[in-house]
Amino acid sequence: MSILLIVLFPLIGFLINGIRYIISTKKGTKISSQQSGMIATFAMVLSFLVSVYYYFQFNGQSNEVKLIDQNLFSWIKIGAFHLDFALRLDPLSLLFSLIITGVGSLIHLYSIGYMKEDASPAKYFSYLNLFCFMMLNLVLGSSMPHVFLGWEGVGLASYLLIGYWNLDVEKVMAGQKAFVMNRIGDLGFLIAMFVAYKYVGSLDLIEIQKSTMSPFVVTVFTGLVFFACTGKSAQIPLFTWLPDAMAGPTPVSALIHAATMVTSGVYLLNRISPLLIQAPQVLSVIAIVGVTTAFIAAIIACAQKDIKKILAYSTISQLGFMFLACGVGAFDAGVFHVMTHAFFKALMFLGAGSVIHALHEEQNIFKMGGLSKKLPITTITFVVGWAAILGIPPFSGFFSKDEIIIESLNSPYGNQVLFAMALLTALLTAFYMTRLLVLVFFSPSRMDKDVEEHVHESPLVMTFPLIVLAVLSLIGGFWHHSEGAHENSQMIMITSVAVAILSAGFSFYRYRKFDSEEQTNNFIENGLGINNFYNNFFGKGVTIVSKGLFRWIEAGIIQNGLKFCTWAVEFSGNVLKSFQVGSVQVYLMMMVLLGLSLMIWVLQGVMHGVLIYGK
Amino acid sequence: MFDLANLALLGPWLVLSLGIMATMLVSSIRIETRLPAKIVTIITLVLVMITSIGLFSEGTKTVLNGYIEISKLSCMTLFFMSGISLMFVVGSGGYLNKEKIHISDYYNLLLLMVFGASILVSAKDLFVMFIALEVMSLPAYALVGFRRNDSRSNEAAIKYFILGGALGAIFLMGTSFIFGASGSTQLAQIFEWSKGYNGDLLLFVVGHLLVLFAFLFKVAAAPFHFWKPDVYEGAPVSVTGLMATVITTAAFVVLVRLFHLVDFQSTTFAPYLESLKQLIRVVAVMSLVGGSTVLILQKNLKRMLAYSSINHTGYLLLGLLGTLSKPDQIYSIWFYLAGYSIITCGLFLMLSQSTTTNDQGLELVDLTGLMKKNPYFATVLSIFFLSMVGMPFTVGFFTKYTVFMSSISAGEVGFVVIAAICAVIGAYGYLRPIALMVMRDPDPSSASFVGTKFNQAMIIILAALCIILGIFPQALIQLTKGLELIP
Repeated sequence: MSILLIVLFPLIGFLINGIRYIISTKKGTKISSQQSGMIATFAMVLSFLVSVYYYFQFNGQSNEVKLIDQNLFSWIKIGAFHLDFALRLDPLSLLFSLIITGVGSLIHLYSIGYMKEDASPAKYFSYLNLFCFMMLNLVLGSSMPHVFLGWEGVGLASYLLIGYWNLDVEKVMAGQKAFVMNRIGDLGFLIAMFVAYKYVGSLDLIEIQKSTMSPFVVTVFTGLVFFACTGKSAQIPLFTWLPDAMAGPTPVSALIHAATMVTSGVYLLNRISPLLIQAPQVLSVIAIVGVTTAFIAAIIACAQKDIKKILAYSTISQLGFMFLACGVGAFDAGVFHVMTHAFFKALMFLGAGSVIHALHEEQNIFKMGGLSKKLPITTITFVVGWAAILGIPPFSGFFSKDEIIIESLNSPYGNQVLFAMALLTALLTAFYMTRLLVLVFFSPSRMDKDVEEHVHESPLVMTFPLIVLAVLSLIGGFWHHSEGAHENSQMIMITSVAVAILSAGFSFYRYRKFDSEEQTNNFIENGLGINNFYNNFFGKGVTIVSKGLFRWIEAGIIQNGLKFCTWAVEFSGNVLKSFQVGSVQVYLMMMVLLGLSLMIWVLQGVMHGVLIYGK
Repeated sequence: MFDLANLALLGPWLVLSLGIMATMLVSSIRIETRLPAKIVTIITLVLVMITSIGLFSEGTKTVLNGYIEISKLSCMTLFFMSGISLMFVVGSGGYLNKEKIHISDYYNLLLLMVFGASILVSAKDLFVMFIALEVMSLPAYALVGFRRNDSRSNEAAIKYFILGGALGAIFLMGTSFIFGASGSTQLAQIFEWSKGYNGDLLLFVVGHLLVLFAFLFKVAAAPFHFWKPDVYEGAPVSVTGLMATVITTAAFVVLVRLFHLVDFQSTTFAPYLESLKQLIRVVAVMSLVGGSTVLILQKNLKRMLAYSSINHTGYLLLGLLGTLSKPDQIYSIWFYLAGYSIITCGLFLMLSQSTTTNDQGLELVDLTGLMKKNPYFATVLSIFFLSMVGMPFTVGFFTKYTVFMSSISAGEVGFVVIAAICAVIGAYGYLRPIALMVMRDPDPSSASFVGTKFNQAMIIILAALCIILGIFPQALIQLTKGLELIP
């Protein structure tokens, strides 16, 4: 058994489906969703089984043993610097691998049903496998460049899958937006790597963790890494790409933009947690950014009408919670929330997918309603997800979310403001999630007649993953053993649950009989105008600057400078050419004259030199 | 003095003399019968190559009272020159037929020229050098005027003859000055004399400069380059090629010898060395700038290559400048000469494939759209042009690299910068024909190119050499590092 197998199976799946797709397009045949989907799912299941094997290997071992290094080949060799291409498995990366391969397998399975009508499922599944391969490289990589490889790879896969339906310009633009926003964050990652190279001399993550850098360097390094994480994990200021990323197929949103890729920021912060502890300023920035993101995204979610957009903002909000956890030093709680969130958010996305599928691509929640009778399995599983995100005991979200709220007050880095904001966000979360649940499943139907007639429950291949995820959302919370609680933690727990239930009750009361479209605040619905601000300030600003640069520097200095150079060369060439008159007499004359002057010049130099050298 | 062992040492020259006589005989029987002369020439050149390789292991020896030196340098140069000549002999039959100048006398003159060049590179006496220079030049004048129905060819021959004669006289005058100053015309004795000399420099310096000017004329360094474009344009393509390779190589070897005529270690000549360096700097920069800037204005390929060779002379002088301070860098010159000759030989053999007669069709525009019309020809021609530019993975890159390194090691960074700028300007000139070939559609009126089998075989060998030496230059560099200059 080898760790390599974990990353190898998705790669093989990617290659098989990719090659099959290329061949099929050449031949003009179509590969069915079942066929390619089974290959892709099988690859993921195998990878998952290997991860499970290592889970049992690690179980009950002491912490020192829980580290497996596997050196694949020597990657970079520059002078004294040497870097291996190596995989490394430890409890953190194992947990992420289990989430990626486990939830990934379920979503692959679900996709078989969801992508049944699609024109090129083989391409879709190859992209999905590619994503998993890259994501596993991200979490299993032993060095920063290796992580970066995965980091960019998942960005690529995300780009390809957001713009998967590439005949729709808007979707392609959404993919581009995601890519560009991520690139801004990547800058932080790259510079952090340069800093590590300069001040640590190694890019191996363990070496970096163990290193002793000056406080300033640590602050810079961790700050840069955090900036990179805001890109990938959709935090302020780089969060605007995630709602647009919902343009991709819904299983993609579930896998990439809820369960795995967007949590890679949390993974990375955990990886450098020993350094973060040494940089309290960065920690407090992380906490503030996290809680603010959580709060703002929750507000925006309240005004959304698109089912996937609500879930997207909810994801941003939950990611904010995870960052808050990291920011107050409760890294374990953050990772725990990654896991439970992966279960219930994937569940809700897939449930939303099931609804959208049943309603023929309808995503507006005000054109749904009363679906509980027609989609019983989807409804029940969705309710489980709803209960989990609200934090109702004993659902999984209760354990992870409340731990974060408790830590935001009790941890040495926590304070009342963070706590209050977190609680407020929990309140908002309960409100908008209940709004979603009630409007979609329980309120009177607002569907068009012809749509309503065709509503049907999804096939087993889609409902089975829903059921599994629902079970996980229900019991997932018991995998974590919280250590000794504070005396006030019970109080906080009761408060937060009460807040959530009250808020949910209000929301239920408000939306239970809704039969028309809600008039929402446009400003909030459009994401508090942040998108417009970015477009107007940065987008137009850059355009103005580059136009100026083009006009004055490029056209003015560089082009005219080049023109002058070519003119000068041509001019001197023409002058020299004019000596080439073709007459032997002139040639001889010039040779003699020039030769004579050279001779006189040399003789003068010799005489002068003789004087200096004193003969 | 005259025993059999010495006779064996003169092998290459004896073979050449016999070959010359044989071709003369053949052409006197019937001038139109060229095949026997061609075969004799090929056999002669092959034998010269074999015998010179045989002498390579002999070490350094002087024969004929110290007039002729047999050293690794002279043997290798001889081998190389006869090899290049062989390429031209084998590869330009089609061209000569096309121009209707394929007669036995051509081979006779060619061998005579090689004979002169072979004496020149091994001459250790100024008078022998003069005679060898004339033996080399006189057949060259005749060969330049070989297309006797074309006034351009005749004009070129006359120009070359007058200017060459004048500079020959200047060389002779310089020799007499040196003789007056040092009391000898033998290089070794002049070198010995300079070690102990303590008197006035004027007489010697004037003589030395005159001698140098004569050979700067032969290698066409500015301001002694005026003859070159006119002669290149008028001469038959194959002759132009021979001049650019064989004559340039021989003349440059002698030039290097003449620059190292005296012992610059001695205190008397130390100030002269500084002035001499100044002279080379001026001449090199003039050649570089003049060659490259005028090169890009040319519309005729042969004229363009003439300016290109002036430009290359500038690079060679740059290498020479380095060797005056760092004698161990002298290999860069030999390496440059070898690489440059290979590229030039290939280019001229290529140009001789043009189907138009009377040396028409060698304008730049005639290459328009060649990639579509004749991809093979265009590709190979591009390899040679890219070598001229000094593109990596071609031999041209390493030739430039070695002379630049030679100059830098002698501290001449400023001049290397100038040379690099000139290389950029020159690159425009060499890339323009490629752009015309690749990026335009063919023009029906432009010339087409058809080569004989022999011609194509030679070209493929040369193109392969260009690339092989561009990737694995080490063997040739090692070989040239063994070629020492013996005073």
